Amino acid sequence: MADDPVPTEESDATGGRFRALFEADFDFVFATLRRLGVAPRDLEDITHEVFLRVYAHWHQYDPARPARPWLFLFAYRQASDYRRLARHRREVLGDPEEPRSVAPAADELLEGRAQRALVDAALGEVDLDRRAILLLHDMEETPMTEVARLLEIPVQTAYSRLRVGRQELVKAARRLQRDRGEP
Amino acid sequence: MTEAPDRELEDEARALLRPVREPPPVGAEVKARARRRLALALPMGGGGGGGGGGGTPLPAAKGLGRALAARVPAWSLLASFLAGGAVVMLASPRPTASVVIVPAALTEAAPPSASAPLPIPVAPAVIVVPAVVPSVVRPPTVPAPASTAPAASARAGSDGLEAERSLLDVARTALGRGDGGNALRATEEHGRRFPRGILAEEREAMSIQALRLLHRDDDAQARLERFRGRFPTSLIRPALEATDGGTP
Repeated sequence: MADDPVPTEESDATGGRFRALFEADFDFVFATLRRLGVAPRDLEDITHEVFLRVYAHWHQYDPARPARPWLFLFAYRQASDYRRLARHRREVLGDPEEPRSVAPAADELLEGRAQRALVDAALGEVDLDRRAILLLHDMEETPMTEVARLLEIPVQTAYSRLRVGRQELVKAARRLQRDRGEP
Repeated sequence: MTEAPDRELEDEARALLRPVREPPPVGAEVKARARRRLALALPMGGGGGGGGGGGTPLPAAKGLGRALAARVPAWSLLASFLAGGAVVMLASPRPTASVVIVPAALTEAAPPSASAPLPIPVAPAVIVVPAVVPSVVRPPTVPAPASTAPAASARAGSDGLEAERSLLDVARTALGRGDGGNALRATEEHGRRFPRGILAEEREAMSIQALRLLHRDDDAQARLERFRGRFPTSLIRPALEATDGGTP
């Protein structure tokens, strides 16, 4: 065995794929975890855990399908586990670099960050299961059949959760806009 | 709710979400730190494989990964990740050879939340077996949380740790050339001299890999079971289980 060459061609390809996925979608995983309620202080650790699990399940990766919904599933599961701990149940959404503020600063308005902060805050008021469907379908444009398959729920259940999730999101966003004095 | 309000609701929800679809870029330092942590958690140091290959098409990746998992050690699979990460991080050609030292952050005393300073992992493009103790990549100047830095620096300063490292370097390079026998001898020597050493977790993981190289699958499996019990929160465990076909 000692003289057997390591099969580097296949391992190179696999490692390269994994590396490419990490480089391309690290920001996506990071942002998804934040939208799923992982506190800013824990984002690096939980993102790390997600990629460890992605690697452990690499044999399930299907390059014929979009990678982000698949990655989202890992992030969702990790965020769900994270949130089961009582100390994490309090939602902490928003820009991790800045404290949350009802009134966005002028530069936020200029840079469009106010919209992101608003959406993050509104998402924080949506139940996690419904939020996952909202993000997968309405944000990532994943077909509902695929959403249901990934989350292992009936399609009708997915649609039902989507509708309620939209209601919660829009209601929260309207209220936040009113609080901020926006029309 | 009727169809028309449903449509309005959908439009309003999408109008909120679509403009913020693209994730804001994470800071380069955060990403580099994540790259280092991942590279350290998944492989067992610089080993086989080799860099590159990132652009190589993988015609049938689904299923191939499972086949690979049964044949290729995790450190080999991740060697190219290490190399690529280092290339991106350093924006320079790949160094010829180096050794990654698993930091205290990967021991059972340090939970996954710890962000101790990590060495820059660099894998050799071609397996290089140094005749002497190879150069060591020193930890980068990334600030670490105050809660972990003192413990890490205290460990790093001990003579025992240096001795542990030297022994495990031998095992690591042996693994790198597929020499399970010498790798196992080195880890067993480490076990005799440092049964409760700081790098015991890394030693055990390398022992498992060495046993697999020697086709002592039953012994490897038994040792993996003990590893799970002793290091239940180990960040190395997923990589070990990936090659074992287990589920994290």
